[in-house]
Amino acid sequence: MRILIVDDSKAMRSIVRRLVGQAGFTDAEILEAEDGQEAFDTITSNRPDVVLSDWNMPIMTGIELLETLRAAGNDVPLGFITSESSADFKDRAFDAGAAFMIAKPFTADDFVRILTPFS
Amino acid sequence: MQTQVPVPDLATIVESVATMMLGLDLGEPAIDVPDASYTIGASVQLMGDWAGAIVVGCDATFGAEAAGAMFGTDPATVTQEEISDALGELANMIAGNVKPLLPGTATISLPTVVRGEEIHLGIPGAQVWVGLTYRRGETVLMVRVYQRVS
Repeated sequence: MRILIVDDSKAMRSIVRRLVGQAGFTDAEILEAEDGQEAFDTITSNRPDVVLSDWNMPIMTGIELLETLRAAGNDVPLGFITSESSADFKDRAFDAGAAFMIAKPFTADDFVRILTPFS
Repeated sequence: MQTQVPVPDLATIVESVATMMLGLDLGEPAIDVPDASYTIGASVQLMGDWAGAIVVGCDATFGAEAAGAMFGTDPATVTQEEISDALGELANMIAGNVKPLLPGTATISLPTVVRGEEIHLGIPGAQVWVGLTYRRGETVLMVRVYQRVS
């Protein structure tokens, strides 16, 4: 399984990468991007199986990334790992086609739950 | 004037973030001392129907511990950039968990981080709504929620 982690925080990318491993996906190939634009380019060129994206990022936010992907006809499964866990953000995310949402803080169990369907 | 809303349970939010993301038991909080100084500060603005900010302050040792925990490395080897990243993300996560407890809708800004000697952290035009200080040995972590009043 190829997983793309998108977050402007290197610390958060490091935590997500570590917890994905703790969740049992030790053989997964992990790609990283620092913002939505870099993620869009990485998705286009590397075709990950699933994208784990932050919401608030400079240059292109996570929701803008999702909307841009869908407008381009790309249906890669994309879910959000974000502090933005209020109902209005969830509604906007799922309306745009998000596969899942994980609220920060999170645990390895959250990654077992959301990644297993893609493995 | 902003709507009066219940004060969020800041201790539960901060301790949950510290335990789950840093693996740190912060212990019992004390009432924040507003004039205390810090060497690292991070803030995230909340803008919308309720306006204010989350401010996190700490000393260099706690900053290194937090960064070491997030990056999974020895605190003695983390860089200043990694400490800033970690403190900004800490403020961001606390803001994200305070936000659903506030009335109406709001957006969360990207974090701002400052470093220096004896930094006095404050938000002009805002007052401390709730604040806590955690002391672990010689280290200190302060978390405040500011509410804009003008």
